[in-house]
Amino acid sequence: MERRSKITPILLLAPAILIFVFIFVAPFIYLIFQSFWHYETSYVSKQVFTLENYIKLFSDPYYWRIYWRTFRLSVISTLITMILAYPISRMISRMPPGKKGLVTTLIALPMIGGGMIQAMGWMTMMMPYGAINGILLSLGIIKEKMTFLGTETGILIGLVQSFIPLMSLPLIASLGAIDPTLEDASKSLGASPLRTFFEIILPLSIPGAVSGMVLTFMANLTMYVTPSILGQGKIQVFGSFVYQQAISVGNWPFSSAFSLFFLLIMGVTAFLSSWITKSIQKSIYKGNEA
Amino acid sequence: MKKFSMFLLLFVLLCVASTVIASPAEAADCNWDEATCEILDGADFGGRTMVVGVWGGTIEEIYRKYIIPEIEAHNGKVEMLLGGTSDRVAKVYAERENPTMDIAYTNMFESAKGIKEGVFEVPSADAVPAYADLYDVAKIDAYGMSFAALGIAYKPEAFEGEPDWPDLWKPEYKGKIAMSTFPGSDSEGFLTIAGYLAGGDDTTPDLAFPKLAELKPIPLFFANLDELFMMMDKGDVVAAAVFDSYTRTYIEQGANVKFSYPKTPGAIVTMDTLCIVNNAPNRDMAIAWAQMSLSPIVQEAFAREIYFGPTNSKLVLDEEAASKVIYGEEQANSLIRMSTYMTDHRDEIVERFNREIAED
Amino acid sequence: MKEKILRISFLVICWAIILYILLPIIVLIVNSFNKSKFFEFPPTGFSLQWFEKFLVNKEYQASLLVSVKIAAVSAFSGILIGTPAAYAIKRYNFKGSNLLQTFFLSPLMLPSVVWALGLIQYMNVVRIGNASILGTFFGLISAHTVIILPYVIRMVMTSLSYMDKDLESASLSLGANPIKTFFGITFPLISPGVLVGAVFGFMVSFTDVVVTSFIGGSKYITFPVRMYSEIRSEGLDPLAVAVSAIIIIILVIVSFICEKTIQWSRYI
Repeated sequence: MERRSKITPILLLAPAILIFVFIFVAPFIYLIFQSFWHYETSYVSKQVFTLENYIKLFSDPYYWRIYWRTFRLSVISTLITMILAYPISRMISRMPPGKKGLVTTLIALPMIGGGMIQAMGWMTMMMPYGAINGILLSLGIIKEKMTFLGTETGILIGLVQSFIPLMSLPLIASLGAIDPTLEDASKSLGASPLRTFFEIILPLSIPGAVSGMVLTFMANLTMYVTPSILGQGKIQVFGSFVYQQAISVGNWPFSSAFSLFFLLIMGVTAFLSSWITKSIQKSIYKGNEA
Repeated sequence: MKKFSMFLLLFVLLCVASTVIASPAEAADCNWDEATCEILDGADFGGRTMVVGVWGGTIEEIYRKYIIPEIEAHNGKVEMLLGGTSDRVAKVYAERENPTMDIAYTNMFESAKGIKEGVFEVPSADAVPAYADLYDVAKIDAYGMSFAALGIAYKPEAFEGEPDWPDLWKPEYKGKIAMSTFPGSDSEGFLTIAGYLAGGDDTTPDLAFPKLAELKPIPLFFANLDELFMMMDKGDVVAAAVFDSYTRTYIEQGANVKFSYPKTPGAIVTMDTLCIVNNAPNRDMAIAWAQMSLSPIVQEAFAREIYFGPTNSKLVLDEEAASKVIYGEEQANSLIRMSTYMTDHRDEIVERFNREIAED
Repeated sequence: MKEKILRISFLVICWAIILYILLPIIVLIVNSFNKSKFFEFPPTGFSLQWFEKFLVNKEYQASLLVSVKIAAVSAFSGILIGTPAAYAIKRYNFKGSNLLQTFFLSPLMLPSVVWALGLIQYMNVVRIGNASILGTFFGLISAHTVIILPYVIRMVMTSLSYMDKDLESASLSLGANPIKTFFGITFPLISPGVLVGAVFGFMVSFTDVVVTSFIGGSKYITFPVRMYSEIRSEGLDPLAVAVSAIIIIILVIVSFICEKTIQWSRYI
């Protein structure tokens, strides 16, 4: 196969690369330019060079609070997602093939149904007189109705639910790849289930867990439909703020600057987290060897 | 068998022929006013689909009932794009090089700005004859469509008598005053009221925001009135600043809610406007639509069925119908009118609202 | 005994979590039969009125049709462009193939709202002939193809790695040319992966809100975008809930058919 001409892969890749460059990359470059333009009035900007958008961004802690809230919510949501995804992935990974496929499809449904449908379902439940309050009140768990819409709790409930599939799918794969005889061996040697989990299963599932966490974290950072519907404008995160600035206010230059700087932070975070996970993995393998 | 199919064919042909013959006859039988009939007479929209950006709910229903059948009778189709003004306006600006919308309904501030920026057509009686019949106040920078007044929708059991604006700031109602989502005409109007009560007007956000913030916590930011009136019914909310027309629809349907036109400093008048998008792909249809919208028939339906004040001076309402809407130029002018300040400073206002009101 | 209790409680917890994942979908379906206009709990009565309303609502029907059209064309162009790209990355070991793979998967990581913000203005400037491509069918399809491509490329790559490479080598050594080998050997073997890519791509395109709401213009309003805009301005409408319930039921059925026939969970 190595003898095939060099031109073939280029021809095969050309359409994909072309559409990516023209439709995916070019708009980002456009944004870079635009972030240095002057905002005249809603939806109207002037193409003169100015740093005012970045000055506005750096001089006002409000925007930093939005970045920070987005990161904080994403971290919390990713952690909860991890905790909930682990047991079900473990259960599914040990199912016989046919059943495994069906249950995997079942938990992948939120991903397939899309954010809009999930958010609508949650919205009906979270309304002041909706199902959640109705059930909690009638069971006597709470005395007074709680507020979910427009709170961080409400957004988190929605986010975790819609991102469990993202976390679960790679986890199921890596948990399924663990040789069951390893566990049996550990058990027959008298190790408690807990010890077996921490010493055998957890370390071996780390690659899947890491890729799931990275996917989930990134998806959380860029969340948009869920917070804008469940947050009701009270909780601004990165995605909903960009939408508001771009569509309701029409300040395109500033929304560009605000977005680009966020991308920069995301890039740095991704780099750091991959570096950290690599060193953790190394130290675990070293620990196991010792 | 062959004979039968021949008959069938003949029958089908006859049907087709009769509809073809019948349609011009229908067009001649025109129920609209003279100018509108002139535009509609013999019009054939060639099966094209026009796009109209408008609010959903009662307004949409009126258009479905009165205008769309007429467009369809002239071989045209209508697609209504429902949503808020800002979504619509953003779209019009974004696709200004290549518009796909024909009509966009906005408010008097956005239409003035859009005309200045060249995304909307300058209104004229040459294009839409009904423009000549509008009150002067409805001619300024727009095809004025309807008037509505911002007042107080309230839970009758919670107030003795009709509440005035300052009553909403009384300590016993703290945490029970709802607000509509921002940005939007109702919430911008309410912000203006806060400005007046703090000794300023709609151009003094420094006074208005702290005053409005006194109402926090806000129990509900509502997107529709169903939500608001349900919360009011359950007692979580006692009052909110809402437009009279929408509220009256609920009152007439028997909802347990009342409406007051406040005195201090007064109710705020707003005018919804119809804008023909510049270089609209179906301009002929847009003009027919605009002419029908402003005609006395639709204006009367607006007043009688969904309680919006008419802008067409040719329309005469009886006393009962008139009492339920903002009727006539005089009454419209007697109410508080906002300036373009909020629209011009939208970025600052939205941000201050985010920070000072929306966040708990 | 203790182990049995532990195992049962583990299963209970797991199924409770799965219930939580499916809750919005279940509630949506239940609510679509609600009699009242409000989403009160417990529901006030059973009614099919919202489904009946859907049957007469032309806009909803029209936008569903738009959604299907866009998703179908995008899914098709997605596999047309994505399959050869995935094949090239997987079968030709060239310099930077890893980097290229990351590049193709990057739309999954980057915020689509930022991309959409750039796209709406960029497309307004890009012209074919006299008109900009913003709001045109072509513009929408190209954007949706980009949304779909990462999924298609990943899924086709997965199915290529499941496949035995020796079959290709054998065919080539027996004198079949590469094109014949691809269509005679490779494609039939990876076709389940390509099919899953198409179905998944269809669903991703069908449910997209973010990008479409920015660049959709007013001529091609997809169903989820119409919903989103209406919820934000008018609040939640039971009619919208009913239509979403129909959509989700169709998606569930399609998913399970895909699982039963081609075991698609291997690819996602």
